[in-house]
Amino acid sequence: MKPLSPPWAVLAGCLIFSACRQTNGYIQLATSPRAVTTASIVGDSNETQWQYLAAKYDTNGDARITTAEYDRSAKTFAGFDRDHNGVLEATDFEREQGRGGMRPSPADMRRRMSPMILAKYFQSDDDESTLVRAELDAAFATYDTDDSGAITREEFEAQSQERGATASRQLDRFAMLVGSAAGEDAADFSLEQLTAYFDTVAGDGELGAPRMMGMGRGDRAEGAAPPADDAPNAVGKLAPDFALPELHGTAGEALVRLSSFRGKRPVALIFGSYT
Amino acid sequence: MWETYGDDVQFLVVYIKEAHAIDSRSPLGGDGMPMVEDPVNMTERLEVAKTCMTKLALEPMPAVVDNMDNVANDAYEAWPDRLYLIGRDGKVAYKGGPGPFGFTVEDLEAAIVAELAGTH
Repeated sequence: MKPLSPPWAVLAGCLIFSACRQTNGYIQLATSPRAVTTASIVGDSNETQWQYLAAKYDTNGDARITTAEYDRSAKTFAGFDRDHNGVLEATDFEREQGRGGMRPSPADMRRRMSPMILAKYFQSDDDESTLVRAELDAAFATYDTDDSGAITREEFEAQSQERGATASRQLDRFAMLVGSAAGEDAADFSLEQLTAYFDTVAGDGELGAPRMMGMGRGDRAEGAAPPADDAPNAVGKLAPDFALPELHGTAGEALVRLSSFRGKRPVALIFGSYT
Repeated sequence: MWETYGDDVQFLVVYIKEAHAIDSRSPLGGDGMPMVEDPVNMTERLEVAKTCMTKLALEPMPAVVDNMDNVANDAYEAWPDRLYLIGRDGKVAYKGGPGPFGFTVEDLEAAIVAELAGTH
């Protein structure tokens, strides 16, 4: 924030810009909203969420967004309005929360994801449904390729990719795990730190691999076959058909029908989104 | 993989509903991560899909966009991301696990190899 300006500068500022507002003893000059294509719903990833929303919806430049200015969902507005004062301000976005449409904090993300990452990528036996402490020593040794006694980011990423990990923009697995085992600022973690962390999250010395997100096999006896998949999209079933607009074609005109490839060539479907 | 098998396999990106729009139940975005409001119509979803393909340098790959009823997403239980291989016979040859952990490119490649070898 700028320090209190001389009176002439404040007056000049108020004449030049659309609005000014005094905040906590400082004069904060609010500039006109930057030029934003109001129809666009994609922001600059280097902005904060508040910066994006303010630039798009704060049409009068008073550093607040009212329900009149926000022309999307009222439910979404209410979710953003953390202090329930009827307007959106920077303070609504200063802290992160877990539920109600707010962003989970890094600590929350670690709490949720680190046990799953541990259970997924430190397996040493054939039973992928659980991770027991005895497996950690063997798994740790495969990661610690320079035998330094600690796993670095490079070592983790190399070995976890061997174990099937793919790069993820949303999920920095190493950061999650090192943050949980050794602290946010740590660059690596030791076996001692990893096993200490394991002891905090495992019940009775076992960490169950979650059923969700394609991990683990749930409560199934060792060696038992996975439950039959009877879904219409199961292996062996005729693929559910669809006819969807082609992204690069003329909007609304070019439809691609999945069944049109039948008898011609296999089709690899990659489902996903930008976020 | 697309460059390796693209002559024999049709690769198709199916753009589905957002995983972490800033106004969703699981918001992420900003501070270096893609920041998107949840599309409410096809025009908006197309905009985001095009941005995604451009920013991730995926433009040469064929892509379709799921409709706002999320028909393809629901049929394939795809959200947030998932891989499938449909065999030449039109049957599901490989069904990947739900992402992010189940999104395993190596398994898809193995399925492609098996399909092309006629061993699937």
